[in-house]
Amino acid sequence: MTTDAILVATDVVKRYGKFQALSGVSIRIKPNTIHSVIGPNGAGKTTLFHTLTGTVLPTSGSIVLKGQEVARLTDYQRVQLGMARSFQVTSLFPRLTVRENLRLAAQGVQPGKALAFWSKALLTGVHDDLIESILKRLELSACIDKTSSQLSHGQQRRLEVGMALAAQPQIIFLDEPTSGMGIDDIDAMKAIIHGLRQDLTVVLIEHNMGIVMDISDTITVMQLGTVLVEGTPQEVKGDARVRQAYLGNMITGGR
Amino acid sequence: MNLYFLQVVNGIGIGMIYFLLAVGLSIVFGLLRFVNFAHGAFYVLGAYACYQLMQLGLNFWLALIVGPVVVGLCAWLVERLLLRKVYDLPHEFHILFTLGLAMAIQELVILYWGPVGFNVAPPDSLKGVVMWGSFIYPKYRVFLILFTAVLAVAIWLLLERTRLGSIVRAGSESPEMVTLLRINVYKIFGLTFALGAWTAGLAGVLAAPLRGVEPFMGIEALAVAFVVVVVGGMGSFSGALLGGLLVGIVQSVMTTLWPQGASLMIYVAMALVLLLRPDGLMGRAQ
Amino acid sequence: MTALLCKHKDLLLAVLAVLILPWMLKSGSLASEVLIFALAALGCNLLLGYAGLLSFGQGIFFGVGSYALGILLTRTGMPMPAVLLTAVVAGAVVAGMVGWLAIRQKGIYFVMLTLALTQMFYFIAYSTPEWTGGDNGLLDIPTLPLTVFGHTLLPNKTAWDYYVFVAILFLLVFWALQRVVDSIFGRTLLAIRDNPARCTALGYDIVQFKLLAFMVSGAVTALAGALYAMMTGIAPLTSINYHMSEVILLITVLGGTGNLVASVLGAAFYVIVSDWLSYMWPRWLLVFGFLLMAVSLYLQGGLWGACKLLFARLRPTAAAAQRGEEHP
Repeated sequence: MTTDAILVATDVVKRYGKFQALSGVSIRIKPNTIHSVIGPNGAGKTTLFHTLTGTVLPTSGSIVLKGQEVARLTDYQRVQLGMARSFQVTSLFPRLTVRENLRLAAQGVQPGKALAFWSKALLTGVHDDLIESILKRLELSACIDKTSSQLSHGQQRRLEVGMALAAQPQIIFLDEPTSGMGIDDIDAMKAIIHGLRQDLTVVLIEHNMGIVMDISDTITVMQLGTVLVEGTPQEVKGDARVRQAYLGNMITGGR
Repeated sequence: MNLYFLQVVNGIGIGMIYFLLAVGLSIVFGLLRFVNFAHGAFYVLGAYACYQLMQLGLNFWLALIVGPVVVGLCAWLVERLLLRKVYDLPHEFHILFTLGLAMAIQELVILYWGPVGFNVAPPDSLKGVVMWGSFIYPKYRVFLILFTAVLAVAIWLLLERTRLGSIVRAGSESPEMVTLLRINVYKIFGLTFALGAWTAGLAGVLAAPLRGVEPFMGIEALAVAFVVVVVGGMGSFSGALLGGLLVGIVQSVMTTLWPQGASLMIYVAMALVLLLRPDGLMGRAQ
Repeated sequence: MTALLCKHKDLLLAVLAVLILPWMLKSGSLASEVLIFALAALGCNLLLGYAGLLSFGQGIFFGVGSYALGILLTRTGMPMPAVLLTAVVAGAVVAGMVGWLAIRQKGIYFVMLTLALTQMFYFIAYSTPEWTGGDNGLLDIPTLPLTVFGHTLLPNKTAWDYYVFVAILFLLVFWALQRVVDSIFGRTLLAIRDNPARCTALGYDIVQFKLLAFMVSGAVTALAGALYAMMTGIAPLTSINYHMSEVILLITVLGGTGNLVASVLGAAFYVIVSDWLSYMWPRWLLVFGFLLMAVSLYLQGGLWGACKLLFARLRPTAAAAQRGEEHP
């Protein structure tokens, strides 16, 4: 069973001064699945993401990625091992074009090459194929030469996901990818995320239960810094504790 | 042995002045979220205000009260008329604006008082020495330590027990908290900037009888304030106290061991602390 | 042809500046001073405008360059080009050390630390008179001709001879920096400046990039210091003090950080205006203090920004095209 998982976190604790954001969270993520993390606000979902991706180092606990202990590695080190993430609040390079945003993202797995003093950035064309395929997948091909600040909110959220994809990771962390999106955009995003399953492992924070219930293979429910329940969508939907945590009516969505 | 003990006590006195400088910087940063590079210039203004007021016939005690207030008033005017416009700009411009202000103040000081410094005499009641058994020590320096100790307690109460203080401490730890407290911070920005300048001016007045006044003392003061804040942590009362005393004592003891290198050792000590503890003595409140 | 010119327009503007100065100014040493401080401003601009680092420590590298050249020329028989190279390397090495200590500190702590370290190096220079001449500085530094295998390429006898020498070096450095800024490294620096959190999430070790930028900046600034020492014949304490850092920063900001040519503008403005004012009023620095405040409040783009605004008013369509090419 342990060899099955691509990422195993054990007893992850995160303390900010006196405040304990995560109190011993354990999670096991299987490869080529969509694993959602849900829970009310303040449950610690984003903090969990931060510790798993290295944006923030955990106070204690073990995080093993593909058999390697990474808990004390920084985020830029974990990217080299096949991890990538998107952010809950869109975090792009507003004054650079979409092409250049993605080029930077693609270059990130070879940061040594980015020290090249001499070669003109946009003329090397090394990442052109990758950039084009990502834009096609995200339906953003028309925007390639626009600056990212010129995109609509929905397009920016898709580019957020694209930034993570450009690293060609094996496991990708998407933090509320559909936040603030309109209905059409949400459906498109749902299809995109579902399609990612073939190539990589997706860990997802989402509030939209329609998406969560429809596309997840496993759901972890968090509350106040701990794991409440973990299981398939059916199991989670029927769990009384989850219903209580969400005050009953939020999880019956889905088609 | 006795000589080193004396130097340590000297170091405590001067260290308290450094502590005062650092705390003023922290208070401004905690609320206004930028570092005032004119802090050293306000220190110089305070020292010169003390000199000028005493030239006009006021005694030291009045200068001690009036001087810093005058400096605070100038700072308040600058904030109301000019500084406000910089808040919405990127951080660099806050610093660059106050840098320009510091340059201008220094030149104005030289313009009015000339490039050569002056001595400032301590008040008659504090001239001479105090004798405690075999321990002989200048009265002014005793006053300095006692006065700044009382001031430190007052500042501690301000930071720990008042609303302004909690905002300063909260602001230093997390900028979002300041907006969440839903206080109209713009109203107290001017007061805070003035308070920061007041502490710098006060430090200047206190230093005047020790060091005299000269136009270039501002940059030295600014640099030392920075050393204390980098080593002790911004917004930390105990950090400013510990850092200030450390710097003061190192400087004073070194004037006996290696007079030419006394100032240098302050910065070497800082570099050593940062090498061993990159987050400063008290750790950073991130 | 016009496309080629457009691509290299910044370099052409630099060449233009180099050609205009002798025509504008009567003094060769003043013209050299403009280019020397333009070099220093380029070093500062690389940090401020591209890496997003506000460094109060540029005086350190200027001074290191000055002292390195001064010590080597007055005490050894090293050929001048080798001395210049050593000064440049010294600048890079010191910048590496300073950067390693300072860059690990975040945000405002970095800025404060660079100021404190400037004071430290000032006091180091002050307390080691055997090396630096202490208060007096190093004196009688010769201005040597540029010779290669015994053939004199540039005699450097007169002030204008020296200007040619400085101008050539300046243009070489300008060209090199332009390439650095347009390179993958340069673009990554910009990204780090604009969104460091995103960059670490993408896999970049930000400290490494900033450190490298710091070392390039230190090298260029040290070259400026060395050329200045050789021109004036002295390496005084004022080359390494806080005021030097202050002035370099002032020049960079007055010129503007949007573009490398801006640094030339800033240096020309400062050197020429301060020279002119200093005849009339000893407190001329006051004017620059006010200017810095005014630029911070009203004209953040500096002189270059003002030129762009003017250009936009006069030729709106051409300006829009240029905006697309300027770095963000």
